[in-house]
Amino acid sequence: MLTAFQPVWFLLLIPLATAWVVWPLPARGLKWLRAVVFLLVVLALAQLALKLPDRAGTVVVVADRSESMPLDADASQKEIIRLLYRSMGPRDQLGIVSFGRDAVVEQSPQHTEFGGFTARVGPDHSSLNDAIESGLSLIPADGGGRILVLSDGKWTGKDPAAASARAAGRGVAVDYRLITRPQVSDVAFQSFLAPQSVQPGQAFVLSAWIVSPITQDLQYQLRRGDEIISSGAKNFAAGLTRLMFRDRAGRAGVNEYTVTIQGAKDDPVPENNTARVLVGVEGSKPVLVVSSAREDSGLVKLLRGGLLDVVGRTPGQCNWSLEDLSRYSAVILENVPAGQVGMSGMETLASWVEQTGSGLALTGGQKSYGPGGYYKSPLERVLPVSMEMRREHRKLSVAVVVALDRSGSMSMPAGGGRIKMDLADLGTVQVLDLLSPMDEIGVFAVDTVAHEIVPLDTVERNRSYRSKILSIGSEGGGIYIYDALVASAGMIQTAHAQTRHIILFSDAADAEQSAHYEEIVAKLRDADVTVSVVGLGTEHDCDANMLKDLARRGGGDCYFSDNPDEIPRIFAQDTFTIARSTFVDQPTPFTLTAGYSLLGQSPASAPPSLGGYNLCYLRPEANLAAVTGDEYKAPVVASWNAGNGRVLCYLGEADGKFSGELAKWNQAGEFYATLARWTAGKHQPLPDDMFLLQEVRDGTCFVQLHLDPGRKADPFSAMPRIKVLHGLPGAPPAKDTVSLAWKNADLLEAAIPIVGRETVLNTVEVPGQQAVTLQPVCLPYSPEFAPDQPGRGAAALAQIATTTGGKDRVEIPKIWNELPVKSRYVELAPWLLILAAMAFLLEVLERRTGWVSKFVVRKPAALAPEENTGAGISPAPAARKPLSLLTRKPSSAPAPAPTAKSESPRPVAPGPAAPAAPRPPASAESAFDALRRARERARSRTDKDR
Amino acid sequence: VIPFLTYPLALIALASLPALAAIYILRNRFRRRQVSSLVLWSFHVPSKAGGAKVHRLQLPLLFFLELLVLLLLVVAATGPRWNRSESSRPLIVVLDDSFSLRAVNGDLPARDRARVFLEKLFHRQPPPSTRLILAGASPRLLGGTVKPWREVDQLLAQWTCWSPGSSLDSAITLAAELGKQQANILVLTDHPPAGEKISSPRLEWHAFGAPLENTAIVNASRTAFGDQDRCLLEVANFSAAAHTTRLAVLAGTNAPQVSLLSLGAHENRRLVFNIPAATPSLRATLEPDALAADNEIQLLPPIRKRVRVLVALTNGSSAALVNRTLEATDLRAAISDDPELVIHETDVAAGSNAWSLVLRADGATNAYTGPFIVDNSHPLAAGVSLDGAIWAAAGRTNAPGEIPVILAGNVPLLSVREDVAGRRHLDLNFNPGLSTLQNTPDWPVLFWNLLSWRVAELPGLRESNARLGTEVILKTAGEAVTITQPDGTQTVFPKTGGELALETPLPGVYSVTVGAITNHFSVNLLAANRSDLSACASGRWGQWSEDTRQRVEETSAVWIFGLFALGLLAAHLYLVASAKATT
Repeated sequence: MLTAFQPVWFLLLIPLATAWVVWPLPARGLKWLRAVVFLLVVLALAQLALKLPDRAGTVVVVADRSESMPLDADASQKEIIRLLYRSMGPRDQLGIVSFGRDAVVEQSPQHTEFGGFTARVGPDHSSLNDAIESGLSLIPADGGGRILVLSDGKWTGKDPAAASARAAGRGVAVDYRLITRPQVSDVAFQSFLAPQSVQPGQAFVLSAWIVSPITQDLQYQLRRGDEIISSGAKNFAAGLTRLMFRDRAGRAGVNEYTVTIQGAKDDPVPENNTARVLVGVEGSKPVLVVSSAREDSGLVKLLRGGLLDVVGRTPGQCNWSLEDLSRYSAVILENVPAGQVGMSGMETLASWVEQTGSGLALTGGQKSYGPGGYYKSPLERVLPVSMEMRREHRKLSVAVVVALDRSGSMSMPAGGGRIKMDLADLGTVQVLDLLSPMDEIGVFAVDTVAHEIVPLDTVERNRSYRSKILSIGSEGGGIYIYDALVASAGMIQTAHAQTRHIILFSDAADAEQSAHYEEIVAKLRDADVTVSVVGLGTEHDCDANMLKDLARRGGGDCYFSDNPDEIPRIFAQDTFTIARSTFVDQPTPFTLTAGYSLLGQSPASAPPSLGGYNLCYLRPEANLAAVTGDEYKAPVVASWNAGNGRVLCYLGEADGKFSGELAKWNQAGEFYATLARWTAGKHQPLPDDMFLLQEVRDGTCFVQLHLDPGRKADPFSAMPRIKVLHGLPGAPPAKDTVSLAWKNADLLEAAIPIVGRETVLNTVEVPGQQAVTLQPVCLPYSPEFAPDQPGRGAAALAQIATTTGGKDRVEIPKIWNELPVKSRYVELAPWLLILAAMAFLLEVLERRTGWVSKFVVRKPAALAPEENTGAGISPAPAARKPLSLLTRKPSSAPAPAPTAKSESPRPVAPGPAAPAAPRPPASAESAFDALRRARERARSRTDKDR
Repeated sequence: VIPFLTYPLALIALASLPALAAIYILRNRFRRRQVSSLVLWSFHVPSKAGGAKVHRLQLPLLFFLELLVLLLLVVAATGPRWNRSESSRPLIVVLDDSFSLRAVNGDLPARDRARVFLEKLFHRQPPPSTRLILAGASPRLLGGTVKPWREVDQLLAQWTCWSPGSSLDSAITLAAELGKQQANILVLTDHPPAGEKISSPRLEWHAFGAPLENTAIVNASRTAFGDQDRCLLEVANFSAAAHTTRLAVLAGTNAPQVSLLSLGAHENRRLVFNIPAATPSLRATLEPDALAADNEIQLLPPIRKRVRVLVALTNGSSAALVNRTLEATDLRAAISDDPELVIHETDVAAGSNAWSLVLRADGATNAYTGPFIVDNSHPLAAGVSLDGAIWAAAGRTNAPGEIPVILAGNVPLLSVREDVAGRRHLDLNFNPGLSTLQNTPDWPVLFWNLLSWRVAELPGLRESNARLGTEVILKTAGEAVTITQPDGTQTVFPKTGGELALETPLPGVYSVTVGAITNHFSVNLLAANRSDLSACASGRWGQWSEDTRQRVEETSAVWIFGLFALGLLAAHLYLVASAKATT
């Protein structure tokens, strides 16, 4: 089928035809040749196209970039893509999709060379199904195409059978090239099985199935949490071997079991030599008290005295993971600094409380609340009190000079498109915002020298420097500590405030010229100036000891964090500490309010005074259970519900120097137990006509709510939903809410995929019922490293290829030759233009030589040889007619008199007069007229020449 | 600006240039010319006595014109393209393929209004090139790059709006990747963007929907419930006002049962009822409204697969016990010809397709009271606890290749082996004479698990009712499969790899032919979020910025060379025709 994509160009035919008529070429043949040239060029401009069967199409390479691939897979894949590019035709297109957890289009189909993989795909999964789907989306529905999968075939997530059926339905073949790690000597856990939940005291079995390629001796170890409960060596026969462990469930909560094998020779996939499983223990969970005193904490003893099941731990013993927190009904942070919990720990705590309905309590002290670094922390949002420093409650003014490291290392990325320097700037602004207008602040940026950014002045006047502080950038070099201290000391000397303080922010691994700081720090201490250090890095970095020594000599604190996100919070914490206005260290009486009755029964006698307390402010909607009797009327006990959970703040110190008379109170145990009981809450199961089931299947957690088929009506007014927490060690948990959907008349179901090494904690909210938190679930290890039956990956790819009509692609370039033939429009413009050029050349040839017509004439001449022999004999018109296209058209001008046969070749014809019957010479004109015309022509030529 | 050639092989045609020169050099044709007789005698005749004289080739103006014309034509034939700044941008149209665009407002559905808009846009402001992306459950390119409206219109025939969801975000991402920040992206849908604000200067979002009142069937299921089928119908009123609709339920050939449903604003009503299992199909319809597509469902009977079991036990009491247990599961077929499971006492081959369960009571028997090690993750042992059971079995170890499922210490009580043909062989180390297992709930649980597992592995469809857009799993033995969609389209899978996930792009009843057997499954349009038209709207969000920045685009330059060649050809024509050129 012919079509013209740009028919507007046909309009050109009008002027061209006009020219063709107005300016006729001297011969008819030439005229027609020119007409052909015109027509061909115009057709080319109009983009004439013809629908023809064509093999050109699209090949989409689907490249596996997951962890299970060999280390050199990237290079192999690029080489294959390069081969494809080099062998593609002019109308072929090459697209690239890479995949891991996500499938990403690296290059849309085009005729250009691939620049390389750039997308982050999440290497802990192999979503082959999604990748093939993405590849299919890049192949036009009516265009020919093939998909080439470069993978080890070890897919995770959704079965690629779905995508391969879709590909087969669309006629897109999926070829593959197997790129795989050697699996010959892979020792791996095939499964690690344990009951999802047991009763307290119940004995149960954990079965680990190990697959070994050869008979060999291996060491194994089983841990419950951090405790090794079984270890030894065993001879593992080739094939599957079972390791069976027995354990007895302890107190209610969750136990994490980790089993490890070691000693395998040349194991190509060591990642699958460790597997874990979570076993929930039903029953009432204990309360975790986190304090520096662990089990010796007075609070732990008091609570146990109140018959509460309590576990005492130090902050260092907590890993703040979801599975760890799931062991407890509530967490009490007893005067624990925020830095010891960490940003991700606080985020996990807050999410755990909000989502799962668990409890959290904070007790006061000099390391808690504002001075403890909780201001602007992730926990702040769930606390029923706020921690700002209010101007009216400030007694002493403060002068702070901040010296910021802006060395080259501060230009490193810190996530979210920011660099470390940006967070240091934010921390400095935090100081500016926290201080009162009467306080003073100055800022230096230090590299090899100290640059004054903000002169020392009151905060009120220096607020305009906010944007300048935020624009401090990294300049290079290292921070020169001594210069920073000298400059800061010079500035703080001019301060008028009673409390004077220097905050030095430095890279813990890049602090230079630190030789003489002792002297200047000693002078600062003599001048009653304190120095704190905020070190970006860890206590083990090369300059950490020097920074700690500097802070110790300077009478301030030293903070380290290798998480740049914590820097603003640490600056705030240090500001709270030096301002000394948010911890009241005087004995203070307090009284219980009516709000205490919401927490529990009031004690028989009024409580005695506190030894000190953190000055905080009650948030709107929070319940005030106890209030100070001083002028601040500050909350002592405040509580509220944060999400599904309960949060309680006790602002006094539970066990320490500032416990005051309360510690000696005979009802202190009951008082604290009441607070802890409220925090821990009471969990009620679902009624008997509802049954919750949780099951992990194919990497997905299915939560089912079964209802009684004989029910009269649905037992809820709105659809139940699941609040899901996805936790990874050392990272804040991801939150999600999934609705349960009706699977059939008596069953609701939701599917929650489990990704990699994460732990999933589901809380089911059924309207009208208390939220039910299910046992946390996880996969033994990343599905990427699941041991294969020999050849499973190849078999999976072969099955996809079989379904779709693809094959194991050995010769890569030949894929272009096997694209399906499809009808498509092929542009004829190049051919038309070349034809036009040829026609024009022919016209020139004819015009200049007459050979074309001569060639055409010969044959008729052979038929009538007598034509050329008789001069002046007019040939028969019938014999001349075929030649008329290439001979001159009879002119209206008087033809010259017939001449004798010329000796020179007669290129076109025997002359204009010869072919056609010539007019009678000058039949209508006199010789005089002919001479007149000749004169005129000569005149015009003369004029022209002139 | 570096031009490049699409068809560099066309440069071969440059051979025409020396050919032209050759014509002029080698052959200067005597040309007849009418001249005035007045000048004939002034013609200078060179003296032959002067000897040979070198004549410089006199090339006329026409030669250079012709040379240029040929050069231009050849260059144009190579398809030159170059990058240049463009005022108009290519267009990528993202088409929402969800079925809510079938909702009729006035006399036209949203899809048709969007199509009319697109046509007008093309006539008003034709883009240099266009690509179409269909945003169904996942985005998909429609055809290649097209230019004229006629081609766009042809591709729009594939925009059927039968998808239960629209992946607009993914489609826009794909469009941005294809457009490389250069193309304008046009989204045609029936609802406003999520953020109500478009920040991208290259994205325009046009919605053609209306917040129409709609009542829809949003959920339907039919499951086996003893000797009956339990049906669930969920009808939703998506309007802000109470609405009464008429629900007609047609079960098989019975007369339709019509009931009036009074639904409050935004109310969902679930209807649960039982029908006889023999009812062939159940059809439910609602009164016509703005969106007809979601007013009808059809539910086929659930698949009740049963296993043909041959009990070949020689011990009469054991056979009676097993037969009784099998009957209790309700998963045993009435016939035992061509068995799919053989229960016997020896390792005799059971048949080409049959699994086997060997009840092994030989050897010295020990009675185990626990603790039993049960692999509860295995399909055979789901729900098996063995609390209080006494299991008498021969003390032995499992054979190579056998995977123990239940053990007493290291003694396998139940183990499984798979042969090369994929058949499972179960070994039950069990002496009923000394056991109490058969008197505990675990005994029927074991057999129910066994038959359920066998059923799950039987070829055929896994379900008979599915939601639009989901996959229906078909187990095969590798033979060819033909799928016939409700519109008659047939797809043939010449070979299948054991399990086939069939896509369901259209609602209606599908036929699946495997060998000589044809089965059916029904696909229903059940998508509450798309049936809810209350958030639909008309309007435009975002606007393509008319920035004046240099935008580089690969552009064909053929027309420049072609046009120039035509101009020169016209000039040449004039010169030749008027015979004023110097030759």
